[in-house]
Amino acid sequence: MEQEQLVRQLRQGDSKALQKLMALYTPYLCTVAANLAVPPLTPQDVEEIVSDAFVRLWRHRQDLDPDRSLKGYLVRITRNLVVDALRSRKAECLPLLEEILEQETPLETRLEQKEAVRRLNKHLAALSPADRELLLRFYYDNQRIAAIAGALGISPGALRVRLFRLRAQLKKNLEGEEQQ
Amino acid sequence: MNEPMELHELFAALDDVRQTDPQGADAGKIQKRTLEQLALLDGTERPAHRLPRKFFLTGLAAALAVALAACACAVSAQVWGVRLFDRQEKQQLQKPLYAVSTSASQPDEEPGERLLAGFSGEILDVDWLEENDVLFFDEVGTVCGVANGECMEFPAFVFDNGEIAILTKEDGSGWVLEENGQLTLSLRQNTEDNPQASPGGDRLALGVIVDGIPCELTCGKDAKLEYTYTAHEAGEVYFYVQNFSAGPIVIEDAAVGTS
Repeated sequence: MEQEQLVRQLRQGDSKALQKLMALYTPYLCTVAANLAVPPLTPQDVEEIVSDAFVRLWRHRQDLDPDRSLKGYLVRITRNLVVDALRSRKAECLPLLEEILEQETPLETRLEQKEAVRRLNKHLAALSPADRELLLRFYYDNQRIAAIAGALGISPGALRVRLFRLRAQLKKNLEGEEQQ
Repeated sequence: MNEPMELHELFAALDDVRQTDPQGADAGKIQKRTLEQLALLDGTERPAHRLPRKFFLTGLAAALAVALAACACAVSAQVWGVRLFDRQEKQQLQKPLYAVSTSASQPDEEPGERLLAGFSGEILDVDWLEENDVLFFDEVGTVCGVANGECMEFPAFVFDNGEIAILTKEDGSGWVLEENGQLTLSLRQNTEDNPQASPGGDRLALGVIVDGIPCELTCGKDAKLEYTYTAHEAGEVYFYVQNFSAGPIVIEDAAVGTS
């Protein structure tokens, strides 16, 4: 309900709603941007990207879907802006750029987002703590493979394999259930 | 949900499941910068629309050029000896202040508030424009024709960048066409007497307003223009022309007739 109200306020041009969103989501978006692109991007770059994400949200506020998560939408914008920033720096960032783009995993589903989130929560709750941690680091924190592998003490190759299996399992749960 | 979701987006929709660390970024600076950017946007932002972007860009440019255009037209009237497309000849050239302003364009206004005056409520489907967040006419006027046999002939007129002239019958009405009915417009740009004109003609758009809904038909630099519009369905039709050049355009020998 709060989100629907925020969307409505945004559509009416209420900048206080935007300020409220900034207070809520700035730390998370900074985390996402920084995890995606540090070290190439400095904290100042991250500030600029996150600020631009909010500006873009404001400019497109008439197109917001009240049924879709604002936080998720902001993450999508932030990821796109990070990609744009890396593209503008060309050669030095190409490997990182490719890695980020590879992480894009569209979920083909007709589920409403609320239902998808409910199923995701259920799925996460059923996972082992280690697997849950891995998925959250990768998809929620947007950490890079190398960073996660370093933190968890496993090789990047092994991490990729585990991620692949976890993702397949997750997608099966999210996409498969709707057909039942 | 029909649109594919990114898994990152879906995970982000989870409630805050863990502590986040801004990693050196300053939330205060972000908020300050964002609000500064929004302040800059306030003066220039326009809502999303279906019509080509050039409509709005030129419209914005026109708003900034109003003062200059008024001066230019005043001089033009004496130099060129043509009727002015401005506020002074209200009999021939009504000048409504028309705009659809939504919350997107004017954050301080009530949503859906609009300014509307003159004829445009009859010519334009304001509800449609508003529903579609279309800011169509920033600077608009009508030019009334004079019947001459089967044709409606129009007096010479001058209009400036971004300005739009809707061509009407003598009584301000449009042409009622049946399905597949045709309406032909011909006109000529007077480039000889216009010191700011390009020799071959300046960029001019031609469109129709069908039952209140505008639609651009063509845009080009030809000094002479003739276009036949065929109605897909019955309705009331007006031709309009919009100045897409940097300077004023003098239109002469404009005529509209049914085929």
